[in-house]
Amino acid sequence: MNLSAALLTLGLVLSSAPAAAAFQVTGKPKVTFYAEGSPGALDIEGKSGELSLSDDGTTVTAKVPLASVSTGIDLRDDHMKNKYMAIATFPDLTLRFARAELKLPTDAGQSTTGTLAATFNAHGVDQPVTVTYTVKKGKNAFEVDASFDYDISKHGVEIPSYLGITVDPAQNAKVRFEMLDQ
Amino acid sequence: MLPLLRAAPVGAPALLLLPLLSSTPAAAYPFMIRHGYTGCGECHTDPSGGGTLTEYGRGQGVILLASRYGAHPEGWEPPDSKDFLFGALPLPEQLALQADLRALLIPKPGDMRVIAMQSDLEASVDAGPVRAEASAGWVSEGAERAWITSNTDPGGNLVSRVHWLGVQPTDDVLIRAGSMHLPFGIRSEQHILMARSATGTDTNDGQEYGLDVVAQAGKVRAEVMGIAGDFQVSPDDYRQRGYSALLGWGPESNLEVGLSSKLTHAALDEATRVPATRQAHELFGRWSPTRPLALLAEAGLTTLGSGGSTAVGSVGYLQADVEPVQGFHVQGTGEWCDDDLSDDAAPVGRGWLALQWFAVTHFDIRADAFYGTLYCTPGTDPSFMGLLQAHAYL
Repeated sequence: MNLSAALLTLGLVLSSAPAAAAFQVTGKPKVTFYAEGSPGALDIEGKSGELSLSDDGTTVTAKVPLASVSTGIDLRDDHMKNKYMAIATFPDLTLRFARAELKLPTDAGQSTTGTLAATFNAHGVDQPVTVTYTVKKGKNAFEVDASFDYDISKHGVEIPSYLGITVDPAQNAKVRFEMLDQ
Repeated sequence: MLPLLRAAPVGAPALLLLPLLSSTPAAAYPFMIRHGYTGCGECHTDPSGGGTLTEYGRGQGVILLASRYGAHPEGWEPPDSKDFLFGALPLPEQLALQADLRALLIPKPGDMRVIAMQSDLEASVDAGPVRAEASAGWVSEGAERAWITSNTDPGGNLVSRVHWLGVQPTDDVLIRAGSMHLPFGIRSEQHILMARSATGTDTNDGQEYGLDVVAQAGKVRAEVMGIAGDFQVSPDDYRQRGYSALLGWGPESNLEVGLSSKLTHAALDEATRVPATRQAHELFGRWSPTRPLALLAEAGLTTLGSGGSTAVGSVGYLQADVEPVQGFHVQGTGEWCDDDLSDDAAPVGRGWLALQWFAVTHFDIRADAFYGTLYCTPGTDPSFMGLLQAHAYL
């Protein structure tokens, strides 16, 4: 075991001492926001590779810069960010939850699954959401899969409609990332 | 034996609909799954694709289909020139008009031919619960089952490929009657794919009259059509009756898999000229593992039951569509077909390379090179073939 791996492992072991630990993202996170358009069956995926965590020991805040989200079509990105999500005023999407609600596995190879109550902020408006998560303790980091449903209209966002296709305001977010707790 | 007549006097259902409405071999582009389009109803009046474009479809013709020459300025939107007649004739939002022109050049030394494959005027109506579509046009040759005239001399024929009238009890269900493309496999404008010709499901002239129900439920789309026969063919003995159905599931935005099934019976089969029951059952899939690449595949079994015996065959293809830069496509296709797995004749195959360029909005050109056989005719020697196509829609 090299020194860095040893330190990471030590970090995971010490994570049982919550007072000094803080979550931080490592590796390449994958964040996807799913929406559907109708009539028809248009699947829209807004993808981002940027995710940060801030953790004061009590509350964890996950943040995705809206500028990093891409749907794969330039014009659609422009509409999403500027026309609907008002990126100049509300540049970030955030999810806040109580750190104590996230149950972590203690042994390498083990997983925990559960739900937690969180607050999703989009377009500057907070809304409660329920996050379903799985956390697996890997060799060097926790592997996190989480998702939650949200209704963009409840965040004060006009329901997007373009050339006869209307986007369903009921949407879903999925995130997969690795994190350290140290 | 009854002689097969094309262009029978148009049946009563068509007579009722033709004056009201007026379409095309489908210009449906299943490779659009690379952009998250697991279905077709966003861009086409026909929920299963092809024919008249919706306003959204015309927009995507600019945004996603045609080549781009430089970055768009801030605030850019597709121009009105995307619309019918380049926007010169504004239409009410319930009405869509479209003209499709497609010409084919077969550059065979010593026998060069130009075929006007399509010169259709299409119209569709989408007004509340009512939806309808129809086409009328002219072809210089071919498309016999779509003829509404019966000229066998040079000069071509008038055709109507689709004409249907439907109601939408809900946003996700359409019930329609008339002449339609059959719900089967992956719909595309490549009507000479053996998976189309061997199953009788091409969009050039494979339409049938019948009653059809299309439904979308979440990530599942389904379509079932009861086939009443092609009333543009006579006498009645040649009309095939039965069903054609499709079930597709798009679990991801870049993936659709599905099943198709078709069964028809005719008192006189057009090919064998005896009573026959034909079946086709297949799996299909579309997958875009990365944006520049779309993979399309179909594979299935066919049966021809006639005179107490049944021949079981197989047909399928794998196609890779690569779009290295927007608007320019390179397609490679491998096909096979065997009409009778039990006989000694080797199945036929075909390798196919195509270049397609959507040079500007409303216009694309295409060059195809094949090696193989044109149809599912085991025992036929393979040969090289080349085709050049130009297509415009207004």
